[in-house]
Amino acid sequence: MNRTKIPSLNRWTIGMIVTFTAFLCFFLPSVFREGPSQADFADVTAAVTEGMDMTAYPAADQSLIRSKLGLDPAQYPDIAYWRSLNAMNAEELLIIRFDPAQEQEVLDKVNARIQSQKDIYQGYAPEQLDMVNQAVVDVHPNYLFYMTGPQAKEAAARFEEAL
Amino acid sequence: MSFTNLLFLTAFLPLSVLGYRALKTDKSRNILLVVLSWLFYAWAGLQGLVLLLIETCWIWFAGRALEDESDANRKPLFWTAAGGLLVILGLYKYLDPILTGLGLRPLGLPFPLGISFYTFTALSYLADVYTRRCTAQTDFLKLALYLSFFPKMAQGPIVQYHEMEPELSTRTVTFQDIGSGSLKFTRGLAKKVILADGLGKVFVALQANTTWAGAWVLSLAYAFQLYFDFSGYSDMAIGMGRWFGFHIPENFDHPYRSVSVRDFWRRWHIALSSWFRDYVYIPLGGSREGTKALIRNLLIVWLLTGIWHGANLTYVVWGLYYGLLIIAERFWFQPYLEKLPRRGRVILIFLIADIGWVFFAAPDLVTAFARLGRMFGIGVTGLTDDQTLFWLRTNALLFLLAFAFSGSLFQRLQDRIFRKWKMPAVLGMAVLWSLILLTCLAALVAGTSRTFLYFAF
Amino acid sequence: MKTKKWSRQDRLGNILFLVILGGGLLAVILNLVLPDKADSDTENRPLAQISDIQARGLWTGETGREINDWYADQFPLRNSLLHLNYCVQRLEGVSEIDDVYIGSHMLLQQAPAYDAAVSDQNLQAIRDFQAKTGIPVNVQIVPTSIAVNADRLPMNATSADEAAAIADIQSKSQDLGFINSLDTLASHKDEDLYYATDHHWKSRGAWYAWTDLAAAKGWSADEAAFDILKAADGFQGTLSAKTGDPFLSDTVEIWVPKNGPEYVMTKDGVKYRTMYDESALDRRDKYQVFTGPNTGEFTLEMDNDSPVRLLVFKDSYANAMLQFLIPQCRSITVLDPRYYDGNLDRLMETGVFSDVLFLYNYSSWVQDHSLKGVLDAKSGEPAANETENS
Repeated sequence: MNRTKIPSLNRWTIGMIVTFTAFLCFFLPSVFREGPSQADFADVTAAVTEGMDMTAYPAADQSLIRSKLGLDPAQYPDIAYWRSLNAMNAEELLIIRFDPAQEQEVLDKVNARIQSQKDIYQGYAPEQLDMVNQAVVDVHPNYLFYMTGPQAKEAAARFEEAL
Repeated sequence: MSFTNLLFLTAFLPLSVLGYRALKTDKSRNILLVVLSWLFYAWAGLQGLVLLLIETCWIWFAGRALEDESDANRKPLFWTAAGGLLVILGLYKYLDPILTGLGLRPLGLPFPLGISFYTFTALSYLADVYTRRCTAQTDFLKLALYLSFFPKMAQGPIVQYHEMEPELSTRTVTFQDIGSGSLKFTRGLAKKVILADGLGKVFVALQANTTWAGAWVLSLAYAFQLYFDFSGYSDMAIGMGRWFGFHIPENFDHPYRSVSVRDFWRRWHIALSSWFRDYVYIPLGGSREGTKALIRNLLIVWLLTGIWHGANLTYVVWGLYYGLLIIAERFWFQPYLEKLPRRGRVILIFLIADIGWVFFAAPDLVTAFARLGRMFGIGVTGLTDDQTLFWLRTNALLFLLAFAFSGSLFQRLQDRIFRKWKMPAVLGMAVLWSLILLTCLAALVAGTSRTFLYFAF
Repeated sequence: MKTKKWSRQDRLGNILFLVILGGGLLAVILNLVLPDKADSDTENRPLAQISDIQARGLWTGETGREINDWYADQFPLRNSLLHLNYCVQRLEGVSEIDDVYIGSHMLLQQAPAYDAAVSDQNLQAIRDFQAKTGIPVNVQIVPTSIAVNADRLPMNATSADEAAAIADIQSKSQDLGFINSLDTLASHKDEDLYYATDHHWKSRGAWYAWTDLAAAKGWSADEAAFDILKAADGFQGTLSAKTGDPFLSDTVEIWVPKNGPEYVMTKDGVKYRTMYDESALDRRDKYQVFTGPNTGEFTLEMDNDSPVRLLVFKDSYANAMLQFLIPQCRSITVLDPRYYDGNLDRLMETGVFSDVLFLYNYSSWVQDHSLKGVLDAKSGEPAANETENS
């Protein structure tokens, strides 16, 4: 006798299974999408700049951050920007920690910066333009890394690890 | 979108009502309401709407499966369906606070609007179908309407399926419906915007106050703010429901005029206590299986009631506070209570509620106990101070109105005015209420204003 | 048709129903028909436009919020409704709206609590700056209206103790030439030193602070040397906007030196013959008559032979004080660290300044995070980079 209490498989129970699957498709991406990182800003910057030749990247002050990137340092918990002194050199490094709500706005500003850099070097400095085209931007819910430079990928890897 | 949103009040709602009245068949009206409700909900984000639709499909399939299933298999089916809903609620509402509490990284899931309310609404449907109180809804549209009906979607009241089922199929909107609905809606809006928001400012200002009087004014401000906010929203929901031909049951019945703790819970958030009574307390046996079971059932119900309100220990303490009080009242002090004069009982029960709200309002247990202590003189820096006096003095009228209108004073006044001055009274009250509506509008617009002291272009 | 016995209550309800529907639809039609405003003169900010609404936020609900913001910002008769709200609040007995106390014929902005950490940090940055440049420095932190006009507050109203805070700042900045104007201002408080509807001080208030500064520097301060002219009536400033008060208004006075030097103000590349921006008098924020809208840097060059070349770091309070500094100085360079994005080090090299003044009101001072960043600036790029920016 069939005394196992398993509901029969009809179009309604199949419907339930399909709905459940839909829920999984909807829900699971948010589980694996990461939340904000708890890493300390100083640790992250130290990890990224370790081993880098920082003479090419002197630290920039607040007014430079404002004029070059359009970011107001007072609005973000932590921001650090290094930029080459030479106008003809596109190398720069930015690490910024922010509130997850600001993520889109920071990303927009960084992308705008990259675009303006491209426009500047277009036509007269092909190696610089090349470097900008290969710029690395790594964005997380509360941290962003942006670098134009020969070792951008390695630095980005160190950034990832530090988080 | 919320009920006190300018776009909702001036655009969405009037256009919805006009659209509804323009349609003549039940089916077209239901379609309109479902579309509007989904639009209302989607305003807070499509991701929330997707979840709502998933749950709607889930209970629709589950209901129909339960209907056809043989008796032996119905139980596991029911529990799977209900369990699914509870798991979703748990994931979105309780998982992140628990993870954070354990020191783990939270998932950062966005909190779906009204999930506590619509989960319990959906559970009510499943339970009514399972217990064969109702037949499974075969029309997806009607079930979607039951679950997502925008007046009651975001903040309740939680309407049990069997109460709403007949009206899903056919409704009429009478002159009385429009009249009662409009009055209720207007009263609710005024309660929320004028009384609740006004006293809310007092609460915010006095949160860190450390005097004895400050602690009391804080708790009173909160007690009235919460009541007028919640009952205001409920009134608006019931009023709007009437405009569409629905008769949503009352959610509040002058709770601050209660004469016992049990009476209080027959008057406060009636929908929730009814839900727990009908779907948890009675199925567990209620009071029919002896004293020990009774106590156990009461504690379970009150623990769950507390947890339902939020993932914070303060709510758990608050729930158990009432659980223990109700048990104590039932077995011990009810007779003593009945010997007191009525006024005394009302004041006592109000104080009990006021103390309970201290836990409800506090962000954590430490703050809750600190504030409670100050109300009884522990840890105070003085009897009163300038800050307390300032906020009490400048909001004295609001407190007075709050106290007066937590009873049925207004209704009795209005009835007396109508009896005496008849039709002119109606016009006079109409002018008065219109001015109040205008005042609410002004307050809402002021609430959206943000002046920058420094030129921020 | 049957006559129904409708209760009076139901009739009332039905009238209200028509009011709600009618009022709502009227609001929607007006909102859509009337052209959208770009900025709010009253609230000092740009208003949300339809173009701010982006489809990108549909999933998270951001789009819904943007639509709500646009609708609310462009709501018809917004300002009148704000005035109505003010009147209703007053009828209810409320004496405080949005952190502004409604005092006796005066609106008073609450001052923030004293954050010694921020203040000390700013002082240290100034100290380092002084050490780096070697130029004599003065720091003047002036009280705001609520500290000086405390007697006009509603009963029991409380605000931060600015006197104690300023005294504390003074004790920590003896080496920085601190000037405490609290007593001077307090002793003249019945002379209308602050605006009733704005968070700034009036020219007369700035004058008394100036007398303290002049005394510290050994400069002259003679009221008779100035023509006091009424620039405008009916000024309703930021505090009127915050509360919605339609009743109070102020007069704006300017103090023009009688035998003043000719001077040129250079701001954003444009040269002006006067520091007064007359177009501001036609706008709502008439306080902007003093040097116009806030900007990061501007300079005043005088045609006299004073040895004083002054560098001023300030918030908007100093705008009114400049009137008195003009006759005294050969040049004044004015920086507002909140908006300054130039190169301070290069400025110091080319500027040849003889004196530096830090002039702030208490509120800005304890909340300021821009000053330190600007003062701590390191060497930037050579001149060639200026052309890089488009």
